[in-house]
Amino acid sequence: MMNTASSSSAPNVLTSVATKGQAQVSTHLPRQTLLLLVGALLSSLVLHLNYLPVWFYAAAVFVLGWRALVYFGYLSFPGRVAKTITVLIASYGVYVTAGGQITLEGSGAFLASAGLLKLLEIANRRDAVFVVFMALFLQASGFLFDQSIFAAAQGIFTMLLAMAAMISAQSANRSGIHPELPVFATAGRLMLFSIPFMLIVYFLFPRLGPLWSVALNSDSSMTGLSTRMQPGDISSLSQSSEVAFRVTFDDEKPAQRDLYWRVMTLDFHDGSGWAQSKLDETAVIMPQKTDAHRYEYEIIQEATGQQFLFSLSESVSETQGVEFAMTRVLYSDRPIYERKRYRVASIGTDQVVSSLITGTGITTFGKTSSGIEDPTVLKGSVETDALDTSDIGRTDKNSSVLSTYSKLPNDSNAQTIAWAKTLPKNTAEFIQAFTQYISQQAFYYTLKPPKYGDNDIDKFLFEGRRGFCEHYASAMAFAARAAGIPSRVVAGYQGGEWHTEGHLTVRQYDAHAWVELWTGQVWQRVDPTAAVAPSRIEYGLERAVENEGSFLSQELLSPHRYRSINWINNLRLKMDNINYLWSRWVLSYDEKKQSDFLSRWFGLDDLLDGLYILASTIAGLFVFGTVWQWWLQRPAKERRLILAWAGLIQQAEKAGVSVDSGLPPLSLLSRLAEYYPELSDDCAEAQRLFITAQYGEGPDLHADALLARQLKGVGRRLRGLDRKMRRDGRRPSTKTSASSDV
Amino acid sequence: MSAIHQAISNLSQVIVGKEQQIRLSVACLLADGHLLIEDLPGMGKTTLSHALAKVFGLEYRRIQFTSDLLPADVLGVSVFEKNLETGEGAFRFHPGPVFAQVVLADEINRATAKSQSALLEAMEERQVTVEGQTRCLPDPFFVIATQNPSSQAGTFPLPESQLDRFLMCLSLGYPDENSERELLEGRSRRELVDELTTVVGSAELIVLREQVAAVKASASVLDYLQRLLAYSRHDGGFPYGLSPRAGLSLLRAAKAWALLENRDFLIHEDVQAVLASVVDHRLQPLASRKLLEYVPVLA
Repeated sequence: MMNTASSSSAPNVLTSVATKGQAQVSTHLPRQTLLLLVGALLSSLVLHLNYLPVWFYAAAVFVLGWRALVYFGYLSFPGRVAKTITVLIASYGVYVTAGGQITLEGSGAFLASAGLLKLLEIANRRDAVFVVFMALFLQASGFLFDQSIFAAAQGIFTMLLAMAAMISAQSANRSGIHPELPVFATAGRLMLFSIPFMLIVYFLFPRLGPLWSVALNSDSSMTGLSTRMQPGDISSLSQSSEVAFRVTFDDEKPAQRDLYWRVMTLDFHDGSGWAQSKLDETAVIMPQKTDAHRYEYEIIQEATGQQFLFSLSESVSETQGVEFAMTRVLYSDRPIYERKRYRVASIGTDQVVSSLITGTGITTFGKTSSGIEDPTVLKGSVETDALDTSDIGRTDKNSSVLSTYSKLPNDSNAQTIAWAKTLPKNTAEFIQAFTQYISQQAFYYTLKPPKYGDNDIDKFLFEGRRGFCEHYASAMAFAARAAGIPSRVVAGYQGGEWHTEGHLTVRQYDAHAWVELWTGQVWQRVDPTAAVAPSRIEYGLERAVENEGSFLSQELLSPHRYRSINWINNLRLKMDNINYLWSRWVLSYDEKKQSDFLSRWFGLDDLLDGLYILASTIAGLFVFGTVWQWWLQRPAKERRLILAWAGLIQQAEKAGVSVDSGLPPLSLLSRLAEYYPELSDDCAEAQRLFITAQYGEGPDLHADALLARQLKGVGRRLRGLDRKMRRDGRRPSTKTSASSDV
Repeated sequence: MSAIHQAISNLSQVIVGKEQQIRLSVACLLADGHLLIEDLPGMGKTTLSHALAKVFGLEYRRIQFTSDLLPADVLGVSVFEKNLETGEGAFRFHPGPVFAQVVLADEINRATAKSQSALLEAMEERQVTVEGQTRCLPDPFFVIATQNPSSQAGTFPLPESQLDRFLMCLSLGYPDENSERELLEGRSRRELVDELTTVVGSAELIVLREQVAAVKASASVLDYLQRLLAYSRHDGGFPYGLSPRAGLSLLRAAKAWALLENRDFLIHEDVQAVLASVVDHRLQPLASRKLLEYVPVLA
């Protein structure tokens, strides 16, 4: 009967296809397991999708097709040669993709290919376990690319699949899997059980910084500003709707047009674009926060791989690790490879004080202890604009630094230089003249400017007249220098999207470039884009390029493109808010928050204490689990007697009493007494108890307990006797039992 | 109680050196079951059955089964008899040899299935239906069948369903050296059997049977018994498992054994003592060894 039952489930079993010349390997993975494994592996690749090379998709289709044909029995498993060839091809592909270097994407592609190819040889349980681990590892590495709440949900899904596959693989036997085993329910239950452990690790595990970093293949894979701006850089950035950073203002919020998020100043024109000299990295001592700071806010920014941070003008930050550069931008003391959270207080005007004037030690290009920054000077400069003009000529060094902002390459854009020399030298008048020129001539604000090539500013200003913010900013800064006014391009972000919940999301398409001109006292912010496209500043990029229809033209499916459709926009805002909350409350739980948490709830000031707690909690959990397991599996009262009995049999066999299997209790006790006459009283007592407990009317648990104790006692004395005899070098002669009678 | 032991010792004087078999056959009698003795010719099967009947004071009949035996030869037949005085005639039933308290069915497997089943029906039902009339068999009714090993020529082996009706199946076996010598030196067995006196009357036998039924079986022993049954059905690899009737028989036989041991409760040893004789002919030879080895006594 049993046999027929198992053979009926045999079609479930993945029967191996015999391969020529190869020993037939018995494969006993049920199809369910195989499907779960494929599912888990594919799911684990989801976060990698954007970063995998194109050939990988072709390879995936090929491998899955092959596997499917094997599954349906049309093909056999690949032989050794075929496997070697596919592995070589894939390795070559990865090598070429990664450009011969160890990059994150290359490693990801390597892992993904390995996992994919493993599908071709899943045959037994070991392979299944391997694929499960592979899927989990791939999933974990996918979090390097995406850490949103959706990625988390996707990760949970992968884990569910992987665990279901694991359960399925482990419970499979020769006749296939138990058909009623609910693999998903079991996996889900296991995951639910692991939640407390997850929370403990989340809250208590030390937040370690990255131990090493692997470069991404290209900068474009981590979208954001770079330290060099060439025409087209920002407009290409504007094709991305990725979040750059999110801001939560404490109370007062600036107007949309004042949201100029300064990131870096570009002060060096090399003939084709603007680059950053060392000034942005020159640390000076951060001014104290004063009453003048009107806006206080918290920024959570995505990883950039760079050091720069985001802030409005005239900002200070008390967050640890935030440095203050001479150009009065904030930057981090190390590259940001994970989401970062910091607090900033800003004045947010259109003027930026120069550290040149008030600070010293600038030219040392390093951290200066003598960089004295008088907070009152900063305060005064902004509020009253009454900076002592005599400061400007205070040192030669200062003016030499100032001269960096006036340098122009000699051999380019001659037409612009010539034109600029006709413009007024006074800053305010220059601004007026330049913006007038832009607004009066037929300039267009466009996301699709022509490529200008050499002498691009000449061509832009006098021929093409079509450009994006970087063109306007570049041209204006260039012209100002030609006119003799120190200038610099500021790269950053402008605007952002307000959420009803009160926070602001700034995306890559909010990237912007503008100009700061030296008035002799302060750096004056000028945005030439505002002259040609005021709506860009007031309402954002989408409105500004509305007619052109070029907004996010490459992201057809992006919900940002369809903001005019109400429900899509609402949905998008909702999801965005969820993601904001996620990054604010979950992802940004960093070292500092952890120590706050620990000291608030546990009164711990030291991370080490946290570690102790973590270790002891885990140990406690294990102890609890063990005890619990023991409690669950402890023998029932009825079982204890049987265990005692089994123990006595073992003991008797050790002591040289021959115990045939199936020897009944009373006979065994008699035989024991026969072998060891010293035990005869105990055995008789045990027999008496046995008769009461086991052969009397109905179950007698109390007698059972007494009997179990007596049996244990007999066992102990037996062991003692046996040891004693061994010590004395004599053992009872091995008698054959007389009979099984009592 | 001692009467029983007296009976056993008396029997032992006739059947020398076979105390275990004697005790088992007495147990079988006490358990109200039928006994099958399987052995080669001349091993003392008939003597044992005869002696049993004598010791228990039971009326004894013997049927020699042959291949041409008919059911009527066993059960009895109605014969038309004419009263010579009145001249009236009527059919009168002449009971067959089955109408006795102890029936020795000698060499039962020499008869055809038809005649075998006539006896076997009587064994189970304890009544005989001949010509539409049901007649009760005496009480106690005890069939001792002997058979030659079925490998011998000219036998009709009993099918499983019929074997199941015998509570026990014993095999006497060759006597050991001393017994053999005693046998050779002593008087003829026939005489000895004739000299046997009734030790336990049939009325006493009925009382003893009631005592057997009153022997207490604890949960622990019943568990063991059920494990034995379950093992024979599912795990033992036997063609057929033990039937519920076999389970009941095992319990009854064990209780009878317990009574022989002067106990009013069952212990595991009782079950084990009767196991081979109750189980082997129902499953296969030596099946009981497997059961003893693999079925845990306490679990």
